[in-house]
Amino acid sequence: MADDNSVYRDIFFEESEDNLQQLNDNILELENEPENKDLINEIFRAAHTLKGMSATMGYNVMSKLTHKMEDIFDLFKSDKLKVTSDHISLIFRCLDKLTELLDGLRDDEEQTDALIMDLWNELDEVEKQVASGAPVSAEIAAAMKEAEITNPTKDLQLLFSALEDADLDVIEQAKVQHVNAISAAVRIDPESMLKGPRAFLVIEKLDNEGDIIHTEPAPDKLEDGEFETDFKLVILTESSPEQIKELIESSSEIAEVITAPFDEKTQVSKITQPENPAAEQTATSQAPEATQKQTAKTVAKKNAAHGKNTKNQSIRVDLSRLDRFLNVVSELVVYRNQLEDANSRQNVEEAHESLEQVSRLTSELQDLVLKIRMQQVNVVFSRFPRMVRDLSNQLNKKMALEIEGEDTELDKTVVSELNEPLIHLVRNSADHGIEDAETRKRLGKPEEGKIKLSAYQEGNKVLITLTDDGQGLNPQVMKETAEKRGIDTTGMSDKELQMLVFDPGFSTAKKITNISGRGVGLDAVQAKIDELGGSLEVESKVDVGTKTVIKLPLTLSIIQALMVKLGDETFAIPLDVVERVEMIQADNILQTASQEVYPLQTGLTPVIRTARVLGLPENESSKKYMILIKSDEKNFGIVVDQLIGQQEIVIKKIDPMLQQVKRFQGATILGNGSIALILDVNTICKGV
Amino acid sequence: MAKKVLIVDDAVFMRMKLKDILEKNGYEVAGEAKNGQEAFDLYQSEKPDLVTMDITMPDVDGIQAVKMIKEFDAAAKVVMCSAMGQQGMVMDAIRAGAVDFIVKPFDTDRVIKALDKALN
Repeated sequence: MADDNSVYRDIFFEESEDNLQQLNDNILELENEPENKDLINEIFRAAHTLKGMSATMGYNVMSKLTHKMEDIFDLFKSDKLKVTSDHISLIFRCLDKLTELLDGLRDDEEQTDALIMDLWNELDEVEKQVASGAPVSAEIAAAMKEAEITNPTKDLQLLFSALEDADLDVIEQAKVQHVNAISAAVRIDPESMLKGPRAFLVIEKLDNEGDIIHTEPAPDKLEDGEFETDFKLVILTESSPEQIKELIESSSEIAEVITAPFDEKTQVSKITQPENPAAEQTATSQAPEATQKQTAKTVAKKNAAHGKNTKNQSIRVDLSRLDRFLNVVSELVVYRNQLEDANSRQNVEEAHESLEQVSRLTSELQDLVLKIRMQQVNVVFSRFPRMVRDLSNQLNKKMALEIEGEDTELDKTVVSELNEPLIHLVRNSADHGIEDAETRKRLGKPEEGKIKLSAYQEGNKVLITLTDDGQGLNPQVMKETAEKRGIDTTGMSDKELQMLVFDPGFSTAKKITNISGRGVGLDAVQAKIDELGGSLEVESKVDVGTKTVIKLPLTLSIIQALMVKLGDETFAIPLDVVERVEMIQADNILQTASQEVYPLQTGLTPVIRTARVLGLPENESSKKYMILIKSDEKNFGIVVDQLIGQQEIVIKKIDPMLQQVKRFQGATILGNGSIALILDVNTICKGV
Repeated sequence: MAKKVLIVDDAVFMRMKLKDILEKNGYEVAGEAKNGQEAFDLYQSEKPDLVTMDITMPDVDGIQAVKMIKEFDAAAKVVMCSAMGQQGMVMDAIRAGAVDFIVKPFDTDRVIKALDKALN
C-alpha cells in the first residue's frame, strides 16, 4: 500500500492545497453568513475530503486534526452549535496548522500528535461543551441522534422526482412494443466503501439486460458516489421485475432492492422530492465544479508523472493552449526540414522563404510560452480577505477588504514574488492607515475602514493598487521624522516626503506593533518591486487615505529594448522606461552647483554621462544622443554615443558577482552571438 | 465439492490473509499468483471457479489480466480487490468483465458474501 501512495503524493498535495484554500474562503464567508446551510455543507465536504485523503496517504496526524474539525462542522451542520467568531478563529488556526503540517509532509517530516494536541484539545473542549450543554440542547441532541439512527432505516421507495416528459414518452412507446418498463430502487449497504463503482457495477450488469433510460441521481453522480445509500432507475427490458431484482442482488454489498413495473401514477412525484431538496440543489450546483476539478486532475497527473516527489513548481495549463503549442512546433519541424533541404541544395531563395515561416512561428511560440507562464493575481490576492479579517480582530479595528480585477494575469514569477510586498503593504494599511473607530467617527468617516486591492492591465504593464481610507501620510510628520533620522529633506516636495516611507529604516508609527513593526519592510517592498522591474508610487492625503500604485511588467523574460552604443560596446535599455530620445551637442551640457544639466524645450534636465558612470573611455565626438527616462517621477537624460534601434531581447541572468555592481539588470545575447549588458537605469539614476 | 479459487495479489501478506479467509470458509485455493501474467497462466492450467484479482500489480496489472482471462474464457468469474481511491480502475475492471469487487481492508464477512454471490 505504501508504495502505491507515493504515486498520488503530488496530486495529494495539490488537492489538499486546493481544499485548504476553499476551506479558508468558505469559513471567511461563513463568518458573514453563519446560517448558510449550503456553505456549511460545502465546508463539511471539503473537510471530509481532506480527512479522507490524508488518512489514505497514511498521514495520521493530519487526518486526526481534520477529523476533529469535521466533528465541529458536523455540529454546525446539525444546528447543535452556533457559529461564533471564536469558533471561526479556532478553525482558522486549525487551517493554518494544516498548512504547516502539509509543508512538513512535503519535506518528508516525521509528525507526531504533539504537533496538534493543543488545537485538538480546544476542538474537543468545544465539542464537550455542546455535549454537556444546556439540558434543552442535550434533548435536542438526543432527538437528533435518534433521528440519525432511524433515518437510514427509512423505507426504500420507488419514487422518481426528475423524470422528464421525453422519458415518459419513451416508456409509453416501449409499452406499445411489448417491452417492459421496470423501475428499480436500490439501497447499497451503508457500510459499503466505493459506492460509486458499486452503483456502476449494478448499472453495467443491467445494461446487458436492456436500456436504462433514467437514473436518480444522474449517472455521473452515481459513478462519483454522490448519493447517500439509495438510487433509482428505469430500465426497458424483456426481463421480468423479478429477474432484474435477482440480477441486482447478484452483486455484493446490496442491502435492499425493490423492482416493479413502471407506473406513472404512483411512482412519479411532480414536485421535487420532499426528503432532501437542499442536498439535491447543492448537488446540482456542484456539478460544473466537479467536472472542472476532473480536468484539473488530469493536468496535475501529468505534472506528477514528470516530477515525482520533487518540489518542482508546477503550473496548470489550459489543454487547448498546449494543443496549439504542439501544432506550432510540428509546423516548425516542417519548415526546419525545408530549411535543411534548401541548405543542402544551396537554394538561397527557398531558404529565405522557409526562414520567414520559421520566424513567424518562433514569435507565435514565444507568445504561447508567455501565455502559459501567465497566472492570475488571484493566486496571491485570495489570501488577503483572511488576513484583513485577522488583522481586524488583532487590532480591534473594523475594516473591510475589497478586491477588484483578481483575474488579471501576470507572469508566474512575478505573481509569486508579489506576495511578500503586498503583505507588507496591506498590513501597513491596516495597522498605520486605518484609524480606530473613535477617531474615524470624529472625522465623520464610516466606522468601518476600507482597504481596496485592485489589479488591471495597462499596455504591457499591470497596475496593482492598494487604497485605504485611513489617516494618510502627513508630509510634515514625515519631514520631522526624516530629519530626526538624519535624512536631508531640503527642497523635497510633499510627494517626495511621502515617498520617504519606502526609505530604509524609516518609520512614522509612534506605536510599534507586532504587525507592521518599525517600518522595516516598506523599504523591502521598494527593493522587491525594483527587482521585479516595476515601480512604486504613493498618493496620500492627510485624513483621506493612501493609494499605493505598483506598476509591473507583464513578463520578466522577454522585453522590448533600445539598443545603444557606448564606444565599441553595445548596451540595452528597457524600452518601457524610455520617454523619448533627443540628439544633443555635448558642448551644450551645463554645469550647475551640484549636477550637469541639459537645456531642453521642456526645461533643464539632469544629465548622466553613462560612459563615466560605467567607467568606460569617453568618446570625443560632440554629437551624442540623450535618452530621456523617467525614474521615481523625475526625468533624467542618459547620454550615449550611438543609437542602434529597438529590439526584442531575452533577459539572461548575470553572475551574482556582477550583480553587485548594481548597474546592470542582466545580459542578453545578440544576433551575432556577442553579449550586451542591460542597463539598470533606475539604480544608475539614483546614483546621481 | 469445494469451489476452487485462484488468489492474485502482489503482496504476500494479502495472499496469506485471503487464503486464510477462504480456507476457513470452505473454499479450496487453486493457486496463488503475484501478477497478472502468472494469474493468466494459472487460470489456464487450474481452471478455477473464481479468481480474486488485485488491481495494482507489477508487469501485467489486474485490469489487463481480467481482459486476458475473459478473452480465454468468457464465463470466467473475477472479483476485483481494490483499495480506496481506485474508483476509476474499479470501473475499468467492471467494464472489462469483472463480476464484483471488494474493498481493502478486507473483512471476512464481506469477502465471503461477495464470493458466494459471484458463484451463485
